[in-house]
Amino acid sequence: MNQIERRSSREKGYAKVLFEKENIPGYLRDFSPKGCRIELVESISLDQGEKRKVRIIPEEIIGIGPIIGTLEIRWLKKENIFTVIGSRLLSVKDEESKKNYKSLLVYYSRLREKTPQENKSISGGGAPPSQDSSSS
Amino acid sequence: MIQNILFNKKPYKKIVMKIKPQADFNDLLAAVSMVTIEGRDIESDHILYAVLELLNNSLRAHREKKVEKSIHTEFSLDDNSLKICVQDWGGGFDPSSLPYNMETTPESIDIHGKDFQKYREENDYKRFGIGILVCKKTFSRFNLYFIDEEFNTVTWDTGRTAGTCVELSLGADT
Repeated sequence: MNQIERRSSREKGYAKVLFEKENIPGYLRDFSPKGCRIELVESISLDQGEKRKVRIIPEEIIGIGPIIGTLEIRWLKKENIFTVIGSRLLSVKDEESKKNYKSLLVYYSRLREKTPQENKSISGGGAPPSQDSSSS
Repeated sequence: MIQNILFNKKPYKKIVMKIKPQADFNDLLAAVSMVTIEGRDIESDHILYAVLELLNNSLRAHREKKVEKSIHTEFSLDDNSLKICVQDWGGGFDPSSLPYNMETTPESIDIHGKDFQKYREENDYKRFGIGILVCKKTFSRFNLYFIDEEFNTVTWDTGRTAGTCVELSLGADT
């Protein structure tokens, strides 16, 4: 399975991540039981197969608590200002983290079902390339 | 150089989103994920995630202050330059509460410093203090200012500031 196919099956995510040992903050960009993509705003020295304790912090407004667990590093690359890490959550610290992990997976899985027509709390409009202005 | 902005795979010169404060974050993520910025040198996702940082701050501020007005977000393309504006009515924020000076160039800010650590601890690790910094690093131009109820530009004042405007751009030469 190539990377595009693999990523399409993951849930797009948006949560903060802290690598506790290095104290480096970053963002969770997609998330599934099989793997996740993390972007850090700083460089980090990591090798494939290394394990790191992380704290995943979902956005306050979604009301899901933090997940403390251990990640295994699969790959790492530099992209624009970010250090991008492919990884997998190996274990979580306790029952609270396990509960939050399950809630977060369910929350992100709902994203796939969203369509623009269903989205009543966000409205707007656009001007095609041939027009100079738009109204919403 | 930015070549196209797309929404749901269709090209537009301008895209406007009005986001209600009670919007589910998943709705916001879904809507923003439908925008694609086509161009060289920068990943569309990085642009959109930087914008999401701002929108997340705005949503949180609107909810905390129980403001019903919508958050206005605009993506526009002008002469191969991408312009993005996020404007909210969340009451602004005290720039001195950030763990760094907003006037400092992003390259000289140490996010491992004790000010950032203190900020994270004080906010129970729910806030990292790097959202604006990510925007400043991602875009070639970043302009943040506060507005009052009549849309006049004002300096930060807890009694007078009604909202925040952030203007971002990626020029044709980036």
